[in-house]
Amino acid sequence: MLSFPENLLIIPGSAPVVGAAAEITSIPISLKNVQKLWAVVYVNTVGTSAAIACVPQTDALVAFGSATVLAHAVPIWSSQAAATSDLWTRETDAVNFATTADALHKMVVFEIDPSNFMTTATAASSDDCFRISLTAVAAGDYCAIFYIVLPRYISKSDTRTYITD
Amino acid sequence: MNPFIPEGLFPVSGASPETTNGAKTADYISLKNAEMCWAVVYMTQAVGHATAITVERATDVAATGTVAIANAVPIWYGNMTTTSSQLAAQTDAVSFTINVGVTGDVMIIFQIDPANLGSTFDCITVKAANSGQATNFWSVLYFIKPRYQSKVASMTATEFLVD
Repeated sequence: MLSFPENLLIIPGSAPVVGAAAEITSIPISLKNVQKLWAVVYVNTVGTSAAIACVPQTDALVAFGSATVLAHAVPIWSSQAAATSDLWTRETDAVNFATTADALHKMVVFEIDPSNFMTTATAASSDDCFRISLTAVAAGDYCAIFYIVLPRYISKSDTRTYITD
Repeated sequence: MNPFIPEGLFPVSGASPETTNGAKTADYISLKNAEMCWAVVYMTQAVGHATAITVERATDVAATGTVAIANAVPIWYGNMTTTSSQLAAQTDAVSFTINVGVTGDVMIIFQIDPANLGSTFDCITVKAANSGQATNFWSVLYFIKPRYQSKVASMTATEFLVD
């Protein structure tokens, strides 16, 4: 039985930040000791009603010198009127997701299985690090990103760090 | 607990990211069909401020009878950096105040057991005191362990944002 947040861990992705018409990237996380990761993107577009493109990326190191987009589609859920409805919509699996262009509060969940990081459909990738890029968050809009981690070794979950290689 | 999100651990919006320049109240949620709730408060303290975060209980999501919770709850806290993502368990309490000297990314988790809210209360919220700082932000995400998991996986109407 898992307990939250001791065994099912919550890791900082991006503390709340206001946009500046530029890309925002979450803190890179190493998934070498992770069974599965859920990245929860939380956006407030009340400032501009602009769509936000959420693009998962991988790399070999948390330094993220050469970000690569996913080669395999991943499960995605969205809740795009989150202040008034807690319903989630199961979206079509994809390698990225763009929110609807309106002023409603939104959440998007990406389910990431590190064993599916591939360079092509058949060739395994050496990447084991992950982040999310939000392309061009408009000035006046806000975002935050939470990582939820199912660790590979539950007994070490309280002492291990996931934001270093 | 089924670890799958959103089926087993269900995220519900509390407060979308915004400034704490002004007192803030997250959405009230009903825990009538929750076994446990974790309120995750994720903050950017660009300027150090002793911002108090409190949990309140109410008898409906319209905030009727809202008052601070009476029983202390488990709390975790972390001042995140680029090299540390650790949270530390704090002394159980009904609120948490950030140290005035703390800047950067801050995460606070309150574990709310609906059975400890009191007989007439089944709704909660989280409140942040006015930081007076336009560049300090917060967001609140509730993670709910549902009482009836199968119902959550297939639900077709709002469950936790209504009574």
